[in-house]
Amino acid sequence: MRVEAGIFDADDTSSRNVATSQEIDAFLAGVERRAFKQALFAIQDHHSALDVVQNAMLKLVERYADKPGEELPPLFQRILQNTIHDHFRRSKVRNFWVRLVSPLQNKEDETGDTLESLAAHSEAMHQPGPDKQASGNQQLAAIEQALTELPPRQREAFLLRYWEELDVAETAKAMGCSEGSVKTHCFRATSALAAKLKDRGISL
Amino acid sequence: MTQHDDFPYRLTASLSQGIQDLDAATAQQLAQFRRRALSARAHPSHAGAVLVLLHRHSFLAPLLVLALLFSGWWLMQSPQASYSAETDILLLTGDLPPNAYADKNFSQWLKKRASF
Repeated sequence: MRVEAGIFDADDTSSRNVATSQEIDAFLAGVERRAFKQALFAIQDHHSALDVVQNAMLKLVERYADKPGEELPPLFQRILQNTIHDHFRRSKVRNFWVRLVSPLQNKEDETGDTLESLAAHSEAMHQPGPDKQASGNQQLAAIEQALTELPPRQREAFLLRYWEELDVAETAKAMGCSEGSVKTHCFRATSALAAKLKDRGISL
Repeated sequence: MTQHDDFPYRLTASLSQGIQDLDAATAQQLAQFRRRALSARAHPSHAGAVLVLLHRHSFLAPLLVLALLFSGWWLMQSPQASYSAETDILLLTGDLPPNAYADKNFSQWLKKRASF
């Protein structure tokens, strides 16, 4: 679901302080790693997650640099979620064209390409490996795996509400749904995560 | 706050601890993206904006190609032939022989005459 930008627009921004470049820099520096992880949980591809974060940063600066600093967190989160959805939409279109063109290729090439693409995909999927290995933290790995397994909307609501610490209203706006839905998604996500971690013998 | 209420925050605290261990290459790339975004604010580029637009809306690329093909076809269909035929008739029926237009001195003479 794509949420339009105007929902956070203020009636009169001219009377308030526009965020300075330093403020935007500090804000993005504080949020960029969490944004990358959020994109990675959703997309599960290291390079695509980086692309998504880069696009989200560019969109924020290009379109909303005239907003006051306090409006940046919910704006950025909404842009990030929209960019993740855009990524899936583009992938869908790309896959459609690839499927359309693929019968034109001969069988030998097709087999070779499939193996290559599988190898590339596997490599991309395992790209985030080093930081997981470096952390050496089985608990963190289990938490991240459990988050990856959640339904997308539940994960989105949980991360916005408890990691980005948006309030229920801001989360609802960022997700383009009602506050009641946010509460339901968060409750289900919390229950599912607790169950998954308990199954893996992780206690927090 | 009960033990259960606290669970999401304990979980996200672990996540926050985890992002401190993000590999250096990824952290550097993120910092680079941030600097690039901020420099885009300082120096907005129209060419860059077009590329970004095409990247974000990849479905626009086939439309652009179709538009170029259509404009090429339209230009080919434009009435160039009749224009050149008219010019030919004017040249052949005029007082001056066609060779006069190829003469360098003739163009200089025309310029001088126009300046008077």
